Amino acid sequence: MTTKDLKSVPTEQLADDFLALAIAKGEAIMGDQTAQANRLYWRIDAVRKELKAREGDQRRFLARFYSHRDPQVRMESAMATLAIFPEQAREVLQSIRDRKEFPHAGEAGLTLLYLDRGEFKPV
Amino acid sequence: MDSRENAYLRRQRQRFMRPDAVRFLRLDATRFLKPGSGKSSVYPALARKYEGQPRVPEGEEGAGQFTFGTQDAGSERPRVYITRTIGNGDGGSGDGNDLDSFLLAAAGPPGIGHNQGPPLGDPPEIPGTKPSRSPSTFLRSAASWIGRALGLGLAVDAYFSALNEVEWIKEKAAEIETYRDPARTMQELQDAVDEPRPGTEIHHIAERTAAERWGFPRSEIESRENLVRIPTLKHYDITGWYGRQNDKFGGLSPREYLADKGLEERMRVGREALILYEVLKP
Repeated sequence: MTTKDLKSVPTEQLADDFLALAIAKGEAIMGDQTAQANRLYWRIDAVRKELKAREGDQRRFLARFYSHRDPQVRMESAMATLAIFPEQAREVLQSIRDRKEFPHAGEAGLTLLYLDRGEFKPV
Repeated sequence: MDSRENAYLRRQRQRFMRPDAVRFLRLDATRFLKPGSGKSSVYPALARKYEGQPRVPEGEEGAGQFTFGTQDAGSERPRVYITRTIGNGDGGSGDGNDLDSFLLAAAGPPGIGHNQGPPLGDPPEIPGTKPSRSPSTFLRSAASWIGRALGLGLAVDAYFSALNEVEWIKEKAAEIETYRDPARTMQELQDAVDEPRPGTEIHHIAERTAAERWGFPRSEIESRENLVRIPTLKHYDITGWYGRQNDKFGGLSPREYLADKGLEERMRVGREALILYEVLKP
């Protein structure tokens, strides 16, 4: 789906697409399919950018996935909303880390580390 | 009545005058009331909560119980969103799409994972034959589930027994086992390089292939300082992380980010990855 196509998709539908893409990315990561995970990264990124561009920054819709059972979905929603809900999104990442949900816990920990050191500034 | 009792009563009164007072009401509060009386008649301030409040739909866990709002599609229990109530006394729409909402509690009975994320869930289903593609998916899921279950103090003997019944998993049992290895010191990881152990592999702290491409001398790449023995699946985890696009590196993968960096920066990133993947003690 191109960026132009995304513009015509309702926000609710984009949130559902985000969920499906995050689940697929989690499966790719668990299966060591790095190339597939990278393809999905850019598709998720396109959805995030489209939601951000909408009036009122509609990425906030993604906060509904903070309690999803799939750790990759929780992680993606936290990463997508770090700029608008920094405290809650950090809590989600910390919880993945505390629950030792590997391999996601490693990436969550690295994200928190880079945030603490100011090396990663979410926008 | 002494001042301590006064303070206690004042605190209780404050709790039940809060707009989110319902959080402090026991689910079985009626046990302590006169027979026939209802919670809302005794606690009028809370009556609003029960008027028109939705219940968990028939057929779902906890059917018939009051809920604060809609169920999160991804959760196993009715997890709900309510509007932030601090100061405004607004009960909120509780529809989960309310943009000022945040996750507060599970409407179902507290279980594993209550207030710590989703519950543990069932153990991953054991495939009878080795999956033709990505068998590590199952091995990782099983090892991760076992680790979390043990962390919660659950007995996992039955699951272990079931795993040992399956031939292809028996061969990989060491990988499941080592995935839960505790973090070790750098010295321990380096010393282990000379001690082969099932379920572990040699790992280059600064990635070997990338360093070779960049022209680092082989003596540095294969030096004792750059080699550690780590769990096989953690090795895969870290290698995968190096290759995946990452927000922290502006959409580059860590490998791409490190492409023009010196050995020192590669070692620094490599050590951090080992620490955060809980292979190396901080």
